[in-house]
Amino acid sequence: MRDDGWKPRANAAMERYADGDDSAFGDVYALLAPRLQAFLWRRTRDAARSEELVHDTFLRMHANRRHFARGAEVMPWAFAIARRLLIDDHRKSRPPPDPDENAGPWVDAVVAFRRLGRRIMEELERVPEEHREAFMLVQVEGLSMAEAAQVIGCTVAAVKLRAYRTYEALRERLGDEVREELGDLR
Amino acid sequence: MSELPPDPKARLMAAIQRAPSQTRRAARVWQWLVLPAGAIIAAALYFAYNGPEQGQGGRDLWYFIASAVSWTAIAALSLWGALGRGRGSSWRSRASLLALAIGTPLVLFTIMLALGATDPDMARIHPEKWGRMCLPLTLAAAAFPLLALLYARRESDPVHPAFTGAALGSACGAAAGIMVELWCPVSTAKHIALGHILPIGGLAVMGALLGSQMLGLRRPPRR
Repeated sequence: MRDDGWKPRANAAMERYADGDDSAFGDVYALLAPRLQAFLWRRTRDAARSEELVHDTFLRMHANRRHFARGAEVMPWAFAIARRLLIDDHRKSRPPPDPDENAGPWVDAVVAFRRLGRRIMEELERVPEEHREAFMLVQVEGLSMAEAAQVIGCTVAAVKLRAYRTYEALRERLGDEVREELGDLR
Repeated sequence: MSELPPDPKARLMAAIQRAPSQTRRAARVWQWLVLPAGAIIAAALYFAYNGPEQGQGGRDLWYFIASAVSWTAIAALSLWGALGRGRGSSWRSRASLLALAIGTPLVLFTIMLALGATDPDMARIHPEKWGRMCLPLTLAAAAFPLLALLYARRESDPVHPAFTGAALGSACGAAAGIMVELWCPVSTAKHIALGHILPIGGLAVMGALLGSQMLGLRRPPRR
């Protein structure tokens, strides 16, 4: 996710598509769909819903390709569209389903990591939404601070501050737990 | 990172084929046609309301030219700001848009006050008029470009459509104000505030309200 080599290719493909080269859409889709799918799945925890949202995001990108500015980055544009559709979807839909506790055979490490993951998500739920969002976009989705600022519509300094505060909150609340869980596995 | 299964892509491609979309060039042509069309409407209003006869209306020539040039420069800057994009982005930041929406009328008001202060005689031209004609004229001249630009840029801002709409409203108000400034000789502070600046504020509010509806994204219809 942190490899930046794909971003110029995605930008170039979107440039071609916005200029009317319909064949470039395949490249845009191939480069962005997995990332949008992962972003939306993490926010919804629902595969079908996230797939619908990816579909709708690409439809909006297609319908509004005329608005894609020359020289702009496609990733913040696509994520901003996905985020807006997600917010609309949240307003009118049900809460995400709980993960199935009994699915699959568990080994200690998987259980520990899963428990830890759940604790991180629980703690993330406690930090303000705007702080969590900045943290997730930068730390999980791999956007740069500037890209995350574009997606959210705030300044780069605000993204840095929000992500830092979330990180500090997680460290303060989970520091000991992480050491214990991972220590048990050694 | 694994590929998504082919089915969603096939479904998406079919949906896209059913709904062709405009390319960048077509959109740009439409957007840049709006500005000359808006200028023609403003000119028509200017002549319809006897602009050539009453325009300078007792103002000194230097004052007339200085106010028109300042107003034109600020309006051009405001339009450039509202229609342009941030670096590497498809929209401007919220802070820039807010600065444009609020700053345009404030800067214009300050300039007009400063010009008025340099020649107190200017305040003696029709001091009783508060702007009963200037206010609706500004609104009338700005209505078409604002609506046309909002339409041309519909669904263009997934982040802060209301702010973009407000900046567009302010810019269109300032541009329409050039004609009103050429037309109206009154330069008292009260007249400038109510007749020339208030409509720009009103257009910014109108732009914000319409922008939140027109510039924001809509979910595509269910299949």
